[in-house]
Amino acid sequence: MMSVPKSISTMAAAFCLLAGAAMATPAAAQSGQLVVAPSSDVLTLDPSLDTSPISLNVFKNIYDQLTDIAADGSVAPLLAARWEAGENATAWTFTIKTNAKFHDGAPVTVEDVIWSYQKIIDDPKSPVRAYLTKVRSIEKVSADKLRFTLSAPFAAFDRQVSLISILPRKVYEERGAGFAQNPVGSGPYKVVRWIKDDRVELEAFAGYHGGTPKIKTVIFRPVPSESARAAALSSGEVDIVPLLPPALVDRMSSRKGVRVEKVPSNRVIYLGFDVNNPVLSNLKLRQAIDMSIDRNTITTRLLRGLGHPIGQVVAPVTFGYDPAIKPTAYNADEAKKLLKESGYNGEPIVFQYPNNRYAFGEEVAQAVVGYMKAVGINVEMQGMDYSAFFPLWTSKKLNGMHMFAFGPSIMDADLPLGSLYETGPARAYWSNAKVNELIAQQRAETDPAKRRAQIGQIWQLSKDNVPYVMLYNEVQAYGIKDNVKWTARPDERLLFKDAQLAK
Amino acid sequence: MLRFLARRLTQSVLTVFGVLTAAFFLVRLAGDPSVLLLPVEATDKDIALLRSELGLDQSLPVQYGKFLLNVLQGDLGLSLRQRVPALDLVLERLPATLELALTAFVLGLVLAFVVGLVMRLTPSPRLRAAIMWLAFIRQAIPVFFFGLLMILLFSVTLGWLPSLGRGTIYHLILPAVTLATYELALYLRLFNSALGEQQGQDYVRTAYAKGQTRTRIILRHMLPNALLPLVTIAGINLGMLLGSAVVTETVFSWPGVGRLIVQSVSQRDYPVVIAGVLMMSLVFVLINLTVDLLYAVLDPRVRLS
Repeated sequence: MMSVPKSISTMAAAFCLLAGAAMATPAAAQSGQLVVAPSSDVLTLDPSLDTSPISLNVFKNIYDQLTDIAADGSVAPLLAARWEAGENATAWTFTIKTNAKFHDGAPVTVEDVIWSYQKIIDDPKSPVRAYLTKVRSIEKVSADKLRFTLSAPFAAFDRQVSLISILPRKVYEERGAGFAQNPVGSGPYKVVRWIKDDRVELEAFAGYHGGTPKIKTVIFRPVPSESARAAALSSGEVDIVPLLPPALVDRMSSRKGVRVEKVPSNRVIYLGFDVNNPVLSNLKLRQAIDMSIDRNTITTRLLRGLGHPIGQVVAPVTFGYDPAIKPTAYNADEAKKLLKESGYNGEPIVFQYPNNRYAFGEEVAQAVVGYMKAVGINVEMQGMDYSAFFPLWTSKKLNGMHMFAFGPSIMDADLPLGSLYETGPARAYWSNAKVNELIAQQRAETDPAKRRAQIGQIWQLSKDNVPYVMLYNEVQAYGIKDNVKWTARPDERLLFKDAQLAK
Repeated sequence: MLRFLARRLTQSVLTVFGVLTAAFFLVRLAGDPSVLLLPVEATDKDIALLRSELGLDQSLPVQYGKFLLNVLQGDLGLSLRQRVPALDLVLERLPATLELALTAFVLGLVLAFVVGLVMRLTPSPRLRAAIMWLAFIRQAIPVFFFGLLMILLFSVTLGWLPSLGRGTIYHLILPAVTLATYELALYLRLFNSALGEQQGQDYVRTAYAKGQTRTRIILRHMLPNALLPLVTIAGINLGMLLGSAVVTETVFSWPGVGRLIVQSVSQRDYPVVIAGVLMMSLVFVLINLTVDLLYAVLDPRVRLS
């Protein structure tokens, strides 16, 4: 038997060797590689199966869509060179670029485009299908033109198509279920490997029709813990950390070699009411709640600048934003007066909100309740997991006050209008004939200026009737290494086509 | 022996069946996944269609019956999100979890063994107390926090070791040490008291009377006897390690089964949750069975009772 002291020293030596070897490993600083750390991994690399934002971030680097939403919120050509809407926005003709290629070198054809759409529409199990419920038929017009016929007007359809990735029919049919592991698209990056929950490694596609990306390798490394993400940025293992929580912003900005970029997002956090609830049906009470909240203090103090007060459910970057609609000013005295006039008698108001969805969501909810209590409103807080909250929202079972947010991916007002205002399909408790009329009008309006004006009228009607109390437009913070030239987008998308590394 | 084995096996099968049933009903009661799978603009019609496609519009007993039939045929269903067999997703990640848990297990035992011996052999009671205190302090720090401290020290400040992911042996060091040191205090105390128990035994006194050195007595005579309780506890702890690896997997972005299960719960990807829970319970049952059998081999009294 080996004597113990000797085995201890052997072990100690082994540990020293390990540590020494680790020290000798050069830091991973090869040029041409960028590592980004989102909170979780993609669920699949097959874009016809998933709509989650985390997956969309990766899809958008691998696949092209007919159109693209630019960082300023406008709609831009991508695979489609141009398009036109006709017949009250129910017929849409897209002309596709002829120089776009898939990663395997095959050209992107009108047939591929039509097949990609048809595949989703014909698949009742695909959640992506919900994006296309208005599409009645798709037909080929010529070698580079296709036409969508919709069952109802949809003025934002040119934006909606930015959500549908175009797949190569031949490769997809050959690979079958294996496609999701080893996909082919026509986007700026191609997939090198996907190790689940560890990394998605992408490589620049030299044949990209929009020009070869500047950074050769982009790696998505999911890091579930917020603190670990920040630590990995500090240690240099990661170049970009999206969506820093307010608590980490100050700490990361003071770190050497790292900068924090803040960008106003397309998301608006708001309070909603069940206006059929006997207590909350009282307009003066809802107005009192609106005035009782000090949005400035919430956004500057609590959120440390990661929010701007807002008075409508769309952000400035979103189409349909009306600069004339201002956030409600904080006025506790006026709120108390309104409350007295309303005849409110201290009845408890149930306040339901998701407590794990938004940056500082729990703290904001508590602040809101604090302000409401200060003017004499009795609130009963019910924070819950988002996955418990969302089904209640969908089935309209939030019977008091709730907190929720909207950040439409296509950066257009139509989504919140349809989901929050339109009687029938909406998850709304408030119903207004004039609003319904305006929603239908704007949907069929192909002149952007007129459409904007119609939408602005809806925001004003909403402000007068207070079915919602708008809180703030979320500002998002990104931790970025100093040598990375990259601009964060308002819609949380992580696109690296134009990113660069400083020498 | 055969009867003992048969009884233990029956118990194991029943346990796994119980776990499956509990997992099935818990996830179903937690809510309808179809709503969470769809984007916000989905209409009620879209939701109803997806629900019937997934068979969620049927009654719970019918769903359970179909589920059991499929399980008996080795089919745990497709992941709702990824549309690949749920079991494959779990099996893909099982090596990562086993690698971490087993490394931490072995490392923990080796550390306990080495440190425990140092404590027994050292003539300094201060050193002994200091080691014990350190081990207790370590145990008092939650795994999550300790993991972050390790990252801050070894990855951020010193830059020696990677803080995230799996791949090389360096990636394994921080998570394994974090997990291994957690139960060190327990092992040490156990080991120490086991050695202390031997101290007063006749054979030890005889050895001293024969004029042997203290070191030799501890190593040659006391150690083998003191190891038994340590091994027993360690077996039970291996199962616990597999379960508690979830937190470690999250802190160190380790692509294991625990993280998969947690993610799948929040995404309501039920087939994956059930497959993950089933796999973990199988491993757990297997460990317990092995420990039971070892007992029976080592200690004839267990077989009789």
